Amino acid sequence: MRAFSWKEALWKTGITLMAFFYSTLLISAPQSAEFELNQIYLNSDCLLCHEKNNAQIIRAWHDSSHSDKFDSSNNSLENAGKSIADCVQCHGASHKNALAKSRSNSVCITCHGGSKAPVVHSYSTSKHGVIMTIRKNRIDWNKPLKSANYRVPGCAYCHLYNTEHNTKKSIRPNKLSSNNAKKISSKELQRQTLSVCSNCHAPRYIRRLFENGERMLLIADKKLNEAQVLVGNFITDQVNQSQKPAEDNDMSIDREAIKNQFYKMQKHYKNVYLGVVHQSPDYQWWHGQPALDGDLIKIKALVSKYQRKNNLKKVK
Amino acid sequence: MEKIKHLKFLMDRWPAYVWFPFIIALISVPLGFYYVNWSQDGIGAGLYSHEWAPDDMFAYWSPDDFYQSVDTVKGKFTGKQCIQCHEALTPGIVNDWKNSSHSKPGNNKKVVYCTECHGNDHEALHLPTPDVCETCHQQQHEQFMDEKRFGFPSHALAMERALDASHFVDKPKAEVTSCIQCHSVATKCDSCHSRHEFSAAEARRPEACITCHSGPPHPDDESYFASAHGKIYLQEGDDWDWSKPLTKGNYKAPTCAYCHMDNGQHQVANKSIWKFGIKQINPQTSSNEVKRNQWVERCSECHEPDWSREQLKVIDMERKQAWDKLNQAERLLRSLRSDGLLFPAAGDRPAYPNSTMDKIFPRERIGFFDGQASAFYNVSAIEREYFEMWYFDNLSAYKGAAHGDFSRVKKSHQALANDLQRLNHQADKIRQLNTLEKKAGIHPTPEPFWNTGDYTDFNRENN
Repeated sequence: MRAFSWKEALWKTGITLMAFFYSTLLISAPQSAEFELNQIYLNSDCLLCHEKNNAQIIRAWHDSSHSDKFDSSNNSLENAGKSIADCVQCHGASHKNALAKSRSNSVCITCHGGSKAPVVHSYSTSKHGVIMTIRKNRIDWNKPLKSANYRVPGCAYCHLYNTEHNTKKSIRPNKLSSNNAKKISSKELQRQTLSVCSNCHAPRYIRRLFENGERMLLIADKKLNEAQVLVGNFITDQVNQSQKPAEDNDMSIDREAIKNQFYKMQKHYKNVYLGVVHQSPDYQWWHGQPALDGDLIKIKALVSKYQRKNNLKKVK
Repeated sequence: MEKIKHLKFLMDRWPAYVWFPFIIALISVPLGFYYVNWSQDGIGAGLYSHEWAPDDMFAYWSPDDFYQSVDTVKGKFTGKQCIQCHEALTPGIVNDWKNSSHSKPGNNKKVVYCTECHGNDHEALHLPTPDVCETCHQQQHEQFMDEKRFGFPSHALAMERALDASHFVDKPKAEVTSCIQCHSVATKCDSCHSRHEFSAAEARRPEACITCHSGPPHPDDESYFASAHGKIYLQEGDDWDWSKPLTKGNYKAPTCAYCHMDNGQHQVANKSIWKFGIKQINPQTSSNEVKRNQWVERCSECHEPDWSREQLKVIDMERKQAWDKLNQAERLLRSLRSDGLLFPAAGDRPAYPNSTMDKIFPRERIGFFDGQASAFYNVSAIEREYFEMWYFDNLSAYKGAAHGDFSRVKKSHQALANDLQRLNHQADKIRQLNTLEKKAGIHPTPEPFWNTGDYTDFNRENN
């Protein structure tokens, strides 16, 4: 029997380790020539490959508003700093963690106004959002966005469910939506909602919640309509100025106030909408419905005051 | 005959002012009981159940009143069978259940399957109310129900008080579904212990409260997160061990539940002195003294007792200043009311369906004890302005003081001062316009739009 030699053992282990190390390099070498995990890509590079490999995803992205180009000639404040949300914006410029990165809420929140923006805040105050915040350290974003892989849905789980890159498919347009291109029908939306929500909720519950939301929004529509009729009448009244005494400074202040109030009302309308679609009771209610009631009262009172002042002028 | 004689003897013996009220009470007390029973017997729920019909969604927020099982699946199932099907149908909730202590209770306790809470007959399933949870969690349930004795605002009374509110009875039911989502804290434990993990650790986090405790009248989230306590939580809270009970020494900074649910007791409103800031209270009553001592005891787990007592006095002071302003505003509105200058007046705008008195003697509601909580629509602009002052800026100031966010206190008191100034200005304008109209011989009549319009009509027909 040969005696155990430390020297030989060390030598052999070294050889084995080196062989293993170089073989892994050899195996990965041909791949790394064309696919480097850390290589930086431009959006056009992404499209070159993925248009071939994931044609459906790219087509869906083209249909979504994420690919909408902003009118660069329109230098309005609303457009300031906006760009299209391309592959790199959400997935990062390299393949490293490209999927996990894009699935987390933070990637959406950056562009959608930050954590205080109503569209984000209405989600983060919902039960979904609250649980998401509580568990944010324990979420495995490597899991695909489907089949209840997450305790609660994040932004992408609902809006990019199962790699659906056309976010429009999961967005209910509202009365004030600026984006008129290719809106989704209520039925199609309900189908999409059902497929996403039914991983956790009963179909009857989803249907009723959906219908209740529609009714809630109809009520907000009605409040907005009621105000619009008043504001509209009021503006057309201005057309016949020749028959009326000219408005004084005090009255023109009232007229501006009506416009301002109607602008605020539109924001509150949007809150109801966000409360419904993101299931935040405080957006449906305190930021929404009673705020609309207040706007309606204030608009009515301003219109009434304006008319009373006008009547006084006529008598004089 | 004998009996009547006997009765006559009694009537002769006692004067009318004794037996007459006695007989009246004998008739009216049972009648009263009968009336209250009858009034809760309608298609809706609560005292005005005959005035309204529920929206479909109410089934989920007040299950005892409105929930009916689906009958699409027939048969009786064991818990394991439920899991087998629902693992494929609704994997999310089965995953949750698997992560809950219901599925792995330990200590040789029985596993709590779906059937324990929902029943085993698929055609007669029920949604678990606190009474169902009581089967195992007696102590928590008992404490939760005990909260009722501390009055409203409280979790345990949230649903019944919501259903009896005038605006709830009046408004379209799809609209007020928003209200009872939060008020369902009284009817379902999973408002805080989110289904189907029902984790105590999750419910201990401040975020568990903010779905309901946010927004203009109760910015509990913003005021807490901006306080010194909240800042520590935001910085370090993710790393704390939330499985620990809410007892002394377990958490570096207090959270909603740490202060309001000492050691995990479920009477959340047991120490409420200032009642959310919605009404003026006497801070010096003996029961408030007891609560004050409880607060000092809780705070002095970290702070000096004397210092803690001083902090409570700061809230007293803040409340006094806020109510000084609010009372001035109330007096202003009352003077407008008595001069008949609120336009449109109560009689010229839609009345609540549950208030017969309102229809006979229309009267503007000014102040908390007048029912102002419902007076946020169908009122004149200046009344609404006061509602906003009272319900938004005042409550924001209170929350700031109570949670230790003093920049909010300063900001909200500035807002209250501005509100008061604006109300005074508006009242002056109202009086001015009225004098001018009187001089010109004009009697302004409220425009038809106060009583009609797309929403106003819909509201009248759909309550």
